[in-house]
Amino acid sequence: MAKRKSGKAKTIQVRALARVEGEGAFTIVLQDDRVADVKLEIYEPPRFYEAFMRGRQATEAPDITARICGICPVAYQMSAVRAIEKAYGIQVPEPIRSLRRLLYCGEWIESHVLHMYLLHAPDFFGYESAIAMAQASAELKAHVERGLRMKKIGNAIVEVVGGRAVHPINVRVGGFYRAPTKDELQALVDDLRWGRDAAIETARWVASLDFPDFTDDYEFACIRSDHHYAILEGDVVTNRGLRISEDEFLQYFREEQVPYSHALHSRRVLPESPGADDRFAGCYQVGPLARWNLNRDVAPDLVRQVEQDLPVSFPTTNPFHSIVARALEVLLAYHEAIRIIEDYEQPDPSWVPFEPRAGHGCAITEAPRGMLYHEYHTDDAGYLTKVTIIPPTSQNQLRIEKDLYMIAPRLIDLPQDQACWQAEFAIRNYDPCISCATHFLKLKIERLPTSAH
Amino acid sequence: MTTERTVRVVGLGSPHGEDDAGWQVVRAIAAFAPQEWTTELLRTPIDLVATLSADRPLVLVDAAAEPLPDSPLWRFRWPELPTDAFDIVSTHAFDLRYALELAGSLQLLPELVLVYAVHVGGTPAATAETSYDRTPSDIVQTIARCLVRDLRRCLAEPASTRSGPVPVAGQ
Repeated sequence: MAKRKSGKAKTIQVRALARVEGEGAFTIVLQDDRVADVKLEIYEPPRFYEAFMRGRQATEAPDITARICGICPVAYQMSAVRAIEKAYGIQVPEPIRSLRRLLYCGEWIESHVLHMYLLHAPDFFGYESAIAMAQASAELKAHVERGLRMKKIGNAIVEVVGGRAVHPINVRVGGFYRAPTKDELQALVDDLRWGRDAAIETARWVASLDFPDFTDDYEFACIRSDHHYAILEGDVVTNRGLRISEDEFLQYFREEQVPYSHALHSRRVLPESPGADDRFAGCYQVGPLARWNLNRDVAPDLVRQVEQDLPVSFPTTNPFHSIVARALEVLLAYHEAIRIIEDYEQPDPSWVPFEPRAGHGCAITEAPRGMLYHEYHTDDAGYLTKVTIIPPTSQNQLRIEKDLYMIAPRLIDLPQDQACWQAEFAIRNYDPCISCATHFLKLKIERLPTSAH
Repeated sequence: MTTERTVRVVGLGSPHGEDDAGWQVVRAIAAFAPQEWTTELLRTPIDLVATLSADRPLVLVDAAAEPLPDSPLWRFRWPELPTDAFDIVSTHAFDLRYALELAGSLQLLPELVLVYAVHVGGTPAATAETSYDRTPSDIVQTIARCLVRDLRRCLAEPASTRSGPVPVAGQ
């Protein structure tokens, strides 16, 4: 229970964040009604993927890295295959790239729908879980039922294209082990059309929610193509004018170790060293809100028209609007899936032959939670000599801490359970995947005695 | 009275390590179960919810990490599940209990939901079925036959299927 030891200071602590993927905690230290410190502590053990992959064949990377996450294995597979194909000089034809985009649409639907309906929506209605929300009224129960059906359709896409719904097995460097037939994909279309209508209803529903009033000067980052809504490839852009190729990513973004977390933090490389008092310098946000803010101009007409009629205006700097961006991306994913299937011609062969060689390649794709960077170095025989993986939750950590820092003054006079819930609500805007970042989450608010000065 | 043809038997787990115990047993059941029974394998309990219908008895077979005494196979009747037995790490904490509670709140659960727990991990219960001179395949077959025998009894007299943990094998 949070308590004020004096009239001016306290500590708020959540030891285990709920409704996030992985294990973590956070601590907010308040002194003299000032936020003294904020820490997002990820204590899930590091898994050392980058180290133990050295000496493995590069062709194993898609299946090995997919095990980093049970929610977004497709993202890991896609970043891995693209990076290795660059290292090997493999050009993948458009039909295979379209099939990859279809597989990714399935993962976006699965992941986004799960988060919106079962993890985040209960926050907006003040329920502790989707179970409590579903029991509250017939209307909310119908919403949960709709969400479950929508998610199932995403699973079906991943199963048909990827071979199975979780940790798909059909992806390989150069393409797919087996390309699905036109009939196999066509069998999904009726459900996808229902899902597209359900996604429109979902966008209207979440846009009507009561959003907390919160904003900041965010730097949003994502990949961008000027021709379509980027998922698999594009330049890295931010709303502050940065536009670079994915090959330049590490020149502009860097990871750093912090003593209280097993996950690395990412920040933008700034032209000048930040002042010692600006620990959040270079923080940025990746994920659906960043993508929709920066890329909605190239989204399909249908999705843009639906957005135009919503009571939420984009671009927005309110992170609680992320649930709306997520809903619009679900609509986009259904729409894209139908388009890809209607245009589909089964690629034959289903993969491009290649020879292993010494090389280096990096690639960024848009995981449901944001940019996922993979970089591989190979030797002459195709064995990995160096691996770098930067998942989206690592990139969002510093930005999450800044959101907590900004929201903390509102928590001072709240009872502990309310303070914890408000803070977790804000964190869930990012749908953090801590298992990815270490390759779960807890709130701790410390209320210190009044300072001596 | 419930007929056999309505039964849906679902193995939960994955192909990895001991987590595949539920899958192995359901695969074995599929080989000799009545043709009218449906068997399937699922990885994530939350995906069960969208496919449930309240008019079919549901039988779930899952690995249980918590040591269960005296028997390698235990039967539970929902909603009575031991707190720890199915406490296997699951994505976003959507474990079996959460999935069944959510299904219950959506009125999707049939009247009869049985959960069979296959003990994995720790010190296995030493019984005739799992004595160390038998192969894992033999053990899976035996557990599957014990499960089907017990399930037939429960389906024949569902009202008498008492709640609480019931040892199925090793008696």
